[in-house]
Amino acid sequence: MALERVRFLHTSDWHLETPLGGICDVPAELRDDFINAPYRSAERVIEEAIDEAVDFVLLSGNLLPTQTASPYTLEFVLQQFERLHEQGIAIYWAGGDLDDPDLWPTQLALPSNVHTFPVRTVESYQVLRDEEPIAEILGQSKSGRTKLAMSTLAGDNEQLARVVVANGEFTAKQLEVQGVDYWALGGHAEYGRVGKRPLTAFYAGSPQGRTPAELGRHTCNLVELKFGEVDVRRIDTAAICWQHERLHLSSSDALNALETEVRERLQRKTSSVEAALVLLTWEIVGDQAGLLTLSKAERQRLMNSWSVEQGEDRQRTVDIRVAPGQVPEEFWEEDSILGDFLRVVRDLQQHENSKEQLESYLPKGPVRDEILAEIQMTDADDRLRLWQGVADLGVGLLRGEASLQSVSPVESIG
Amino acid sequence: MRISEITVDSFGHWKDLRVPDLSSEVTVIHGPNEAGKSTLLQLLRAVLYGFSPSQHQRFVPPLHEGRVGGTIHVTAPNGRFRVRRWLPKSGSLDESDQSDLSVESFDGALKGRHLLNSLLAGVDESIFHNVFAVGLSEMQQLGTLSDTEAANQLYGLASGTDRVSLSEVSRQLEAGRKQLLSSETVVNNLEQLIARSEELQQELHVHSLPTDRWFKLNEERQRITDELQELEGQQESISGIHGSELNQAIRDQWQECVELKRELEAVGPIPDVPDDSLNRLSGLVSEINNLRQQWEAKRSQRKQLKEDARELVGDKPLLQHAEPISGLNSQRSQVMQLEEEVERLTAKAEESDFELQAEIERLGIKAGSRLGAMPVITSQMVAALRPLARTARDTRRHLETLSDQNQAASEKVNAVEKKLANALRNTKHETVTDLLNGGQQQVNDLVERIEIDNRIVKLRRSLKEAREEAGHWNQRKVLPWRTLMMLGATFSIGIAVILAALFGPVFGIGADQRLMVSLLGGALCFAAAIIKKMLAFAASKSFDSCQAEVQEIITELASLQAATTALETRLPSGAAPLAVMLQSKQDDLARFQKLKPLESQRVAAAEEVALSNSQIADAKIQLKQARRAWRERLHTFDLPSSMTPTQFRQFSQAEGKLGSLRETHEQILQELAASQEQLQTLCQRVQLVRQRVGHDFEAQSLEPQICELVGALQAAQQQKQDRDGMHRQWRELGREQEKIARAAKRLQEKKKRLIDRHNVVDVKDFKTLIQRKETALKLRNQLEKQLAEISAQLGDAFTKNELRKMLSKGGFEGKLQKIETDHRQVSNRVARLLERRGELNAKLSHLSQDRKHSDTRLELEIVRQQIRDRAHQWALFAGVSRALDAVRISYESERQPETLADASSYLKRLTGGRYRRIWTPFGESSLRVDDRQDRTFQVESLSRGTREQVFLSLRLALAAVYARRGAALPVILDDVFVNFDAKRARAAAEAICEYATAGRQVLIFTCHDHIHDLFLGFGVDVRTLPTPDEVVVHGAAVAPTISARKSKVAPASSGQHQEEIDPELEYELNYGAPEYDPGYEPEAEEVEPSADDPQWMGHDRNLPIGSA
Repeated sequence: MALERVRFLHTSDWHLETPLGGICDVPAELRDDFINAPYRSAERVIEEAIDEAVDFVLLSGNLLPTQTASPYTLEFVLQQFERLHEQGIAIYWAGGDLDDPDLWPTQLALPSNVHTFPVRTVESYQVLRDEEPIAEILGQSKSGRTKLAMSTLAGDNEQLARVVVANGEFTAKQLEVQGVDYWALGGHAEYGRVGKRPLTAFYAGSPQGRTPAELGRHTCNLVELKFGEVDVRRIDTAAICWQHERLHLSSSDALNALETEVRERLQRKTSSVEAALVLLTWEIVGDQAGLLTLSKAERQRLMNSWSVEQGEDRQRTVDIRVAPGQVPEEFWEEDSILGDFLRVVRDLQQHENSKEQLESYLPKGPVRDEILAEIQMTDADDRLRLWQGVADLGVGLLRGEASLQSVSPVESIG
Repeated sequence: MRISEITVDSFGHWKDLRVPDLSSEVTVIHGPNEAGKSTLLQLLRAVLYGFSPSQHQRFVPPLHEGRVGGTIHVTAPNGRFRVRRWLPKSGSLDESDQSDLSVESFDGALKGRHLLNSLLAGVDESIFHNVFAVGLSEMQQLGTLSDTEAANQLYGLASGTDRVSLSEVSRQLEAGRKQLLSSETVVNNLEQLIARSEELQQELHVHSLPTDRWFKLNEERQRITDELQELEGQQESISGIHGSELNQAIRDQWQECVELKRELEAVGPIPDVPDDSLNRLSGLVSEINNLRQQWEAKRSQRKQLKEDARELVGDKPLLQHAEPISGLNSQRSQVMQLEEEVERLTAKAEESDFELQAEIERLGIKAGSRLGAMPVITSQMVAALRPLARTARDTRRHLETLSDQNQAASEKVNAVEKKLANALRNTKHETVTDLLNGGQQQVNDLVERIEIDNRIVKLRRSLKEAREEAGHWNQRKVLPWRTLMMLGATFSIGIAVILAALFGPVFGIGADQRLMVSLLGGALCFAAAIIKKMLAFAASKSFDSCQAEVQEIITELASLQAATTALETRLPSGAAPLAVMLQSKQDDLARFQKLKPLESQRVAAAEEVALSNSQIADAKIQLKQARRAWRERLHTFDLPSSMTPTQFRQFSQAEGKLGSLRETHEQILQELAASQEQLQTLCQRVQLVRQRVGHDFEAQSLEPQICELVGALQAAQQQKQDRDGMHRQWRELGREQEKIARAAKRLQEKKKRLIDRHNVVDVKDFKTLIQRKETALKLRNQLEKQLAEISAQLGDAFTKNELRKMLSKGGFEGKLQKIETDHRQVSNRVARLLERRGELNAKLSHLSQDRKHSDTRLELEIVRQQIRDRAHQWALFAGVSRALDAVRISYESERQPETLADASSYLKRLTGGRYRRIWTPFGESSLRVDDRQDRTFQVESLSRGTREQVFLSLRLALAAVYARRGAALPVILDDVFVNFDAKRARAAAEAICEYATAGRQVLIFTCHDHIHDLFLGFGVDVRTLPTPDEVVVHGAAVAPTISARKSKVAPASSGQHQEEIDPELEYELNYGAPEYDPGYEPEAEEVEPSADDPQWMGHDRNLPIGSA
């Protein structure tokens, strides 16, 4: 329990060397944005720390690949650390699988305000204000399967705030340790809380979403501790925001109506996240969606058309996908090849291992291993989506309403 | 459609050939090689579908003159027709053969071409050639079906709801998967993408090399920076040594220092006067003057205060009595309350007096009456009398209760006694107990009497029996005559035997036997005598016993008679039987028993009456005692003894209220008196104070008078306070005046000491001393400043101390020149390092700004995503393929075309069950054959014979399917059995005959006699073609006719055909060796074929035939 008010910033998972991705083609004018977004978001984090005049900054790992980082990244990180150093803000850095601080290049000296935690044991630092301790920071870096030494984290000093910095997967039960005021966790791309009050354990999440799946806010945590009260405030840091929009196709010839709706949405700028660049992915759904076939040229035209730029605010469409249509119920019961096909698909869907179902179609060689790795389908939802797609495609092919070209997301076959 | 007759006008070597009356089922047309069977088949095809170029080339011009062509008579459901077709007379195929086709009915009516199409049911020439009219060569080629519509019947396995071929979809998917994996037609196929991914990863690895270089450059830059820091440190220590111009300025400064030192020495030693001494002196003078002014101001203030105080004179008497007046003031509110209280109590006393009088009047007690003289009822009196009254009341109630109980018990006793008296009225007993005892005694006596009577009767019966038994035994003392006779006879026999023994010789008894016989006789005599004696003794003993028993009975009867007599005296007299009397007495006793509870009740009630009488007596005594105590206590309280508790209660209640009123009235009067007394006391105190202070009141009442006194006192006190305040202020000012005077004195002393300390006479002299010190200090400061500047410019090499020493002793110029040399060397080194660091910075900046690494990473990420998408796309294709394959397998096993199902049954029959199934794989235009062990073979891998059986099965099945669809055309087989063994040929013949029974016409051309004979054996219409020579001989005048003969004759013996060319051998010569049949397993009967079987001639089964 802190008697003094302690303010600090908690961030993690910068993944500086990892550019944005998750789409098959990045327009040339966005390439720099995709590369620089992680750096810009990290800069925002540092600026927030300086603006908020925090006591210290906690880094919960996965900032950069310490062993393989480029000079640009190394220099960037040093510059950010130096900025905090100039403001007298200490940094406590617990590494993750990506960034063991012990592997930081020996040729580059870290500024004196940077305190790192070792991998094997828990290290402890005291934060001083006017030469009086106000908080105790404990932490341990993660590498592979190393586990956080929970037994050494408990404490009973009620005068000091007790904060633990760590990276990895933790359950609420694991974190039930006496005397810890705040768990600064890293290793998740998304912000999240572990357990419920009174446990105050947070994953800061990455300050920048990297794929279309990492939607919504990406932030760092501004934490304030006083008298046992923990106040956590999220501060937006994303330089680029991903946004997923659904369009309902009511009839097969309603593409024009869709375009009108898209323009209206672009005008409204529905994103709740403040970012100069919003990357949009559209999913066209509806009973008639399965009948919609977009050629590569048409898809490209729509992507260009469904983008707006107003001053510094940009909204760019980077992907348009057509969701599998709903197979009519009567098809499933049909006494025909189509009905047999759908019933077989339903049976196959029950199998847990989709890979085994399909690997016999793969030739030997490196391609086989790559594809097998990509179609692991360990997640039930993934499997469901796959077999729904199979059903939809099969119905289209058997009824002569679809061609293989229609399922290619970006480029056509042939 | 059925062909009933074929007529050849001229075709090949045939001329005017007529084959009439063809069977509607099977017709075998037999003829040797080159007999013209194939020519006839070609003619049939030509008449139905026109002449083909190959036919034209082969058969035109004909061997004999005449119009090329022929006529077919056909029978169809809609009639009989003649179809006639000739080549144009020119014999050329270039001209249309439209005019050379004629279709006419048998009545001569011409029909159009459409009728022929109708008759052929839409079967085109290709189908007809390959399904209906096939020769061995056509049948051998399964591919001949591929281009026909018939192929759909065989291979059209799958179709979607909208006729989209499942196989086509599968092929598309397979192609799609291949394209995704490696096709060149797909932009960025998976192989390319994976290769690109690896390439990019390799690039990333290569790009890490600049990082190593960057580290090395960084290290070097760090080393240079460290060295620069060190050199800069050295430079700082000699930083003043820059160049000759600057150094000249330093030398000038040094010269100024020398001048300053000289001036300083001229001023002389610096006086030891503190810097602030002059200020301190001025301050002291100023402070002394200030204190003097303050002292004067205080004195004038004191004087003014003294004069003001004299004018304030207070009222002394009032002030002396301030305490009593304050006391009166504090009681002013009490005075007001007392005045109000007196007024209130006066009114209340009048009111209570009125209520008291009213209550006395209500009780009817008048003042001076007996009631008025009675003492007041107090609570003590009530407390003392209440227990007595309660005791008397309780005792009285108890007595009343006992009297009631006694009365009830007496009534109960009377009632019970009355009932008992009624019950005992007819008895001689007085009490119920006596009555019950007497009744019980009589019952007991009667029971005893009856038992004695019964006992007497039994004894008499026993006496009679005992006497009869005694008489019996007495008689038995003499033996009965029968017993006696028997014993006598026995005795006599014994005697006789003895006598016989005695006279043994007389009776032939030997001497040795005489003793034995005599002993026997003696024994008999002895036994008879003994028995007679024993019987007599037993009778005597029994007689005696009976006599004794009779005597005992008589004795007992006598005693019972005596008891009866005694009882008779106690029993009531009467003639009734004892049992009746007993019953009557028992009834009486039972009735008497019912009186027992009444008796108990009577006894209990009597006891209760006695008890209550005793208690009543006790209660009366207690009541008397209680009343006496009550009266005595009343007397004690001076109350009348005759007063009852009720009267006392009423009186005490009334007296309570009256007393309360009386008490209240008295209390009010007392309170009134007390208030008036307090008021009077206060009034006296006020008057006393007024007299002492000599004040005259303007008000009449007490409270305003007190107010006047208090007001006067407050005015006097205010004047006194003001004067005291002035006095205190006057004394305070006096003390301050003294302090100021003491301070001024201390300052005068300090000033004197300060002047004395520096040996000056006055302040002016002191100021001169100070000025001299300031001049010296100024010179010294200038010198120090110059030295500091020089030291700062020259660095650590020239400290101020060293410069001071040099100022005194010299050596500055020499050292300066030496350091100038060192500085130049360091500067050169620093310049070189800075230059190198600049280069490094540029290189590092270039390296760190190199974003190719990031570009590559982005590119890799894009490629990885494309791989993921392609893989997902591939998974979709593969998923559909997987599901379709499952459907395909299901269809291949469960949903083969009906054609293949029919063909399978034919094949099974033709091969004797060895091959059971023909099927087509999904998505392929090929056939597979399963044997009985479910092994699957491609058709091409079967032996020639088996393969031909497969093909024949397929043709028959196809023809059957067409027939079911309305295209019932005749099947024409041209020597298709040549490669069948005897068994399978027979099976084929059977199958064909059976096939034809379903209304399908079959024409079989064969050159083989065994086939001819085989079909003859089945009673088939078999015809033998004439030789061409025969036709020529006969000429056109009489058309040669093939006689139809139905023969049951057995097939001709094999010997007749041995000279013919073996057909299989002929086939091999024409088409090559037969292929190995992988599914073939020789059957038992086939292993040893008949020597007569032409199929085996020249064919060694043990050798492989051809290659697989």
